[in-house]
Amino acid sequence: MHPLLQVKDLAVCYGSAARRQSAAIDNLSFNIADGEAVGLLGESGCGKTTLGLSLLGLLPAGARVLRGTVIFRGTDILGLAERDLQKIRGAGISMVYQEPGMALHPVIRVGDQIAAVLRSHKPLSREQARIEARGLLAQVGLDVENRIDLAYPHQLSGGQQQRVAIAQAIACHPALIIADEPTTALDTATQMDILTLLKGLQEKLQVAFLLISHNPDELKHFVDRILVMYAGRVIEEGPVHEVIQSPLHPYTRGLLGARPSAGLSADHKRPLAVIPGEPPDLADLPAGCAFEGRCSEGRRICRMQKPEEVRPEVSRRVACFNYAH
Amino acid sequence: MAHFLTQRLARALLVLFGVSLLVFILIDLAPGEYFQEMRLNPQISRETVAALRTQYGLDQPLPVRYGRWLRSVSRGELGFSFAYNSPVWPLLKRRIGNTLILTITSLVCSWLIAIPIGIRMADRAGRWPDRISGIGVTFLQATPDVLIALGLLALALRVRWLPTGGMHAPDFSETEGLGGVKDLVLHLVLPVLALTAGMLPVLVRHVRSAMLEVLDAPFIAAARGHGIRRYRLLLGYALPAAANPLISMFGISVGALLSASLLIEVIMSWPGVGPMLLEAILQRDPYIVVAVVLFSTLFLVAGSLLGDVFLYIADPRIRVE
Amino acid sequence: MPTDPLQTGGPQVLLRGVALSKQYRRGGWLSGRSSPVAALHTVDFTIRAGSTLALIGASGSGKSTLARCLACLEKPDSGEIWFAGKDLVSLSQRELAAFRRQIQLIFQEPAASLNPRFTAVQIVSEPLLIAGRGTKKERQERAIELMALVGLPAGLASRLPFEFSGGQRRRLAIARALALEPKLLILDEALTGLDLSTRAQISNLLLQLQEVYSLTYLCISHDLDLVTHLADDVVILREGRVVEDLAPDQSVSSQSSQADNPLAVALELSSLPG
Repeated sequence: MHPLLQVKDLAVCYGSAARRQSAAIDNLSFNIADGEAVGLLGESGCGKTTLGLSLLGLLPAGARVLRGTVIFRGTDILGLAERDLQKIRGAGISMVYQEPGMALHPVIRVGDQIAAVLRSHKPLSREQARIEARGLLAQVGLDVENRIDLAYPHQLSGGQQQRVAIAQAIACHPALIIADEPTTALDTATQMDILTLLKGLQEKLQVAFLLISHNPDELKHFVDRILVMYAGRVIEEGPVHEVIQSPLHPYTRGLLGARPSAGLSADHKRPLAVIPGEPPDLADLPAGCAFEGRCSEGRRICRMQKPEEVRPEVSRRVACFNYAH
Repeated sequence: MAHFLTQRLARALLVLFGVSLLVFILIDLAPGEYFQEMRLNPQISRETVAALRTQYGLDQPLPVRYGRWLRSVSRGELGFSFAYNSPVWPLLKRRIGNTLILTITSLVCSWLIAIPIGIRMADRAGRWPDRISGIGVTFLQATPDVLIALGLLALALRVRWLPTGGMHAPDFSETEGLGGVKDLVLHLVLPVLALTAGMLPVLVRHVRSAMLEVLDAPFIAAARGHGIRRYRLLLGYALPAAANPLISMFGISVGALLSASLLIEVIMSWPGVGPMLLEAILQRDPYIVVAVVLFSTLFLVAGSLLGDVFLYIADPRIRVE
Repeated sequence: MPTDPLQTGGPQVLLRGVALSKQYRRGGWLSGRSSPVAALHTVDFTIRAGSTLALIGASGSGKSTLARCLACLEKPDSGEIWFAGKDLVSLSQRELAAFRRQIQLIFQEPAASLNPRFTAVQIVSEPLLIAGRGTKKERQERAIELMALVGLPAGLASRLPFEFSGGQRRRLAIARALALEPKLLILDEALTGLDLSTRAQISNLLLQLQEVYSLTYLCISHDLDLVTHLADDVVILREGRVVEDLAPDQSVSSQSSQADNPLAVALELSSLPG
């Protein structure tokens, strides 16, 4: 059986070959099965947002797909015309964005914004769509009794706005929901609510879920499998608890070690373990492993060639020479 | 809303009052007056001129004249025209109507043309539909309004399809009816074309840049990501979000069109307030000038008030709860 | 000259807020009516010299208002702010100038507070220029020193803010804040929005600077883990009032689950599933 989504050897770059070309995504492959929750862990600038957008065929201006395929339910999204893409967006794959305040239209009532999504995929009358929109708002835990569907985004809190955005994302029963850092713009208190809501909906509606985040703690409760991205490549993959408990790649290890331990412990006010330096410039990637410059375990070979992926276990893969034989 | 409106109206009254005072002072400062030419005429005695000046109150100091004028405004006369020997309002009434017909028609036409062109250009920014329209717009903008008007007149004279002046055909009788409307519309074509051509470049550029900015916004990308169709994205999402700068522009365009129309009226002999203002300025007939300026101010204020009302309706964030 | 009546324990108290209140008016004159919104309500707290006080609370709890009051950017409606033996609230703008230098504020997104047309050196030396210190050359040298102090190599001196990464911009903002050798740094969500590895770097930098220069921090955040890592004392604000005033060991150490952690409760955190 084919997976729901199959990304193979994807490479996306910004700029043109003549100008400064930078590789946002390089040689990236992964699958998502029906109903599966996958986490994408990476820091800013590693290409995770570009990846999320490429899955919708929504590359930002200046970005180009160099190679690879994104096969969703048997068709390659990258080869589709805008017209066919439009049918998949929202109805096949939908997205929840980082800043709900900016992802919602400022002068359209939230109920109407959801109705607009419904009507662009289903033959509904205006009134039918509004009624269905109210149902969706109730489903994401908003107070429809008080006619929240008539509110404008600026009248809602960040958490409420994100709930509206989620209602839009689930409106047309997509098979895959991509959530790109859906909580970074929110209060700590609201973050957990939103993630719990997303997870609950994912299980109830049986949709696949790609949660993009820079925070391993956020991922660990909400996904089954985790992909770790660094400088445009997936450098590690595995079941979430295994990766968090025993990370293979030195980068993953460093990232997990940089978190202050919860609660008061011996390391209170002590320096945290850090990964030194800054992520590499994507326009000027080294010939070898992109993490080599910051890696405490770097060897000569790391500088010379890019590490191949190896599978130390059936469910895990890692791109590091430490595991190559 | 009522509160908002009364406040705006009160402000508008204050502006009108201020403008009238300012015009009074400026006219007073300008050299020459209506009876100056008479003084040069040897057949009219100095005494007669002095008597006339007294009769029309020109010998009084400025505050007195202004007070008298205010009183005449309250009587609905808006002052007295020396040249026509009549109160100003009955003279002006009809001409204001004519000017409004011309200006409002041009306003509607130029916006109705500018919005679709601007949207189209923004949608295709940087590609050939945008570039070609861009060249056209630049060309129009670079051509002086007078030249456009004269060119249109020359063209009309040559092809003889359209009347080239006035508001009605010479044989037009005052009877109402479809024929009368058709005649009016035919006479409107040239001046409206001239005014629209002058206004269009500014409006098109404005619509284009407002749309371009909005099309870049994250919520447009998000709407695309939800599979909203292209035309809906442009008209249903981008246009309402771009409305604020466009509405402000609307208020400005009202004023710009009015002042342009005064000129076009003179060139195309449209019987509006334009020719009358010109005549009054040349003859130093002060109260007509004051009245026309006041009318323009009123029209401007009304335009911006209309803009504010539109804004209030269009943007929920402006409504103060 | 009034002196601080509460200053009993000698030099270890750097700053003390007494019954600070601040209201904002919502709605303008256009709407005809406006209603006062209490941002701070008789807030009391103490910051010990050389320590870190964490100020936590959900958004709208008054954290940032308090920070702005302490940084002398706003005056509270009532209450006292005792700093170095003076009540800052009662001082005139002129008298405040000297104290402003000793209290520096660092915002969440330094990009917005860094002049995009200034180079790194110009940004860092600007406070010195405003204070009229040194010659141009001396100021530049000092700026390079400060940059080195926060881990920015001299090679980056002539770069513009947009050429820096998020973490480097925070470093730059810290360097500028340190230019006038302040006693108190107010970190208003200064570590929020950073990647984990960068956040750890900056947090280490702050700890190191505190140790070397015995700096005092007021750390405003809604990031629970980091706060407990950095802070000596914690003040929890909720709707403009102090809910609790704790040392972090009181607040966090004994409780293992987040549900009965007073910090978590104050932030209305829901407990984690699974």
